[in-house]
Amino acid sequence: METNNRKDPPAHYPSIFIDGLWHNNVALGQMLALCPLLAVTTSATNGLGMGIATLVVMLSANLTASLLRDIVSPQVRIPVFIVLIAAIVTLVEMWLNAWMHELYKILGLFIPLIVTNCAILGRVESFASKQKVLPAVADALAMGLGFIWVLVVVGGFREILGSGTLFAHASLLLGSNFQWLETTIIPDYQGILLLILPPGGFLILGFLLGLKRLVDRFISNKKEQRVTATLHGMTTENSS
Amino acid sequence: MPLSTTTIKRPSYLDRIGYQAGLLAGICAMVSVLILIGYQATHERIAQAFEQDQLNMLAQVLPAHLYNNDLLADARNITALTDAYGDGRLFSAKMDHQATGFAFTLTQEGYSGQIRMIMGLDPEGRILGVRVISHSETPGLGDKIEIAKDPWILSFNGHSLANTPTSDWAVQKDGGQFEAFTGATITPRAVVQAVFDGLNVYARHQHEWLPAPSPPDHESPEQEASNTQTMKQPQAPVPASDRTQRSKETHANGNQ
Repeated sequence: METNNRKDPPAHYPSIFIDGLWHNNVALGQMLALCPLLAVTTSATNGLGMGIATLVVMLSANLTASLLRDIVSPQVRIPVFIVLIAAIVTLVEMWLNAWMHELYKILGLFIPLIVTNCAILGRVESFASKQKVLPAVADALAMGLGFIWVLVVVGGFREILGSGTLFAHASLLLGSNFQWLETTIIPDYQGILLLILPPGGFLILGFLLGLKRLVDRFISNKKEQRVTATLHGMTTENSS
Repeated sequence: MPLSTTTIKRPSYLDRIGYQAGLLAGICAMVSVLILIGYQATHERIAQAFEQDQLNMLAQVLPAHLYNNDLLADARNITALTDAYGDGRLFSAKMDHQATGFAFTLTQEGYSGQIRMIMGLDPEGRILGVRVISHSETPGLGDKIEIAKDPWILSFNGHSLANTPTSDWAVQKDGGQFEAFTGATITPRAVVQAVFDGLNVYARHQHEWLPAPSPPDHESPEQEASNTQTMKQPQAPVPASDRTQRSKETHANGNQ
């Protein structure tokens, strides 16, 4: 991606967040973490749960990697980081199992797989291990939130088109205060089965990627227009 | 990203192999301690949640007014169930030490992987309820066996080997009396088969299970043999002829 050879001043927070949420988004920009993305997004709630779990792991992993950056030798950094990430995921899994048992039963299998989520090791390796604590945490927050919104959007589309509901069982995840989130968009809906099945994940992700391209092109066109317009203005001024 | 900070002079000990090994070992030790603490903090709650899961499951197939005993404490391991269906736990519902029902889990190969079910029976062998615990059937088609998706699974309630002839224990497509839902035949077929097998296991062993404080489970060798025979049945539903034969043998055993 074009962002790799970017030379930002250290800890430019707005750009960290814009990168995480849009330009260098884990799923839409870096095209990482597609396995959990496609697997769990049969509903918006599942996506949100997976996203939050990933965000927690990312935050803790970036934080510890940044704290340990001066004592970890580059030669053993990968095993050290993997051990740390695996430990964090194990702790998150135990915690979920104990305190959010219903959600754990839904996400169950995919929680341990967060260890292999390349996006987490990717952020630790390319960002957190070279940065101070605060920017590292900000980066994890931005990347995690970026991942969450994509998971929720993909899950939401698949849920609405596939089962006619949105945020079904959200109260299992967020507590009974969030019962109002659970809506039936289309009552007595038979659903487009394809969208609940794995191909549906690919389709929606594809549409989302296309949409991002369109928006990006629209923005850059706008910029170009503005530049040419100002240039044009200058030339007409000169001629007059 | 600042390119400078990482390359500027690193302490030399970072490159020593001893330091690197020690670092890895230290991190692993630290992580182990953390996980141990995490386990200590959560394992009780996890066990509780697991127990609650089991009770919730049982509550769906054994109505609460039927028993006043502790179902989990009174659960027994039964080899006949283990041999045939993997789990092997027999939950006995008792009202003042009088047997009022039984529940056990069943496993059957569905369209894509195993379907785990739990069924509750009253002492006469009538079905109190059947529920699917876990499955990996096609969403939108085969998953109508879940109570959350479709009330189909309730159609077993009240049936027993006595009030439903053997030939009726099949989906309508195969000449039986149970409806198969649109788009899926293999899944309901598997569930019907599993329920039928469960009833047969009960018919064969009810004389051992029924006496309330029953002695530890032991079986005569010939019964063991007939068990393994049913266990080795093909995954696909058995043809009707085979099934009739098997159920005759079942009835013979059950009437002992």
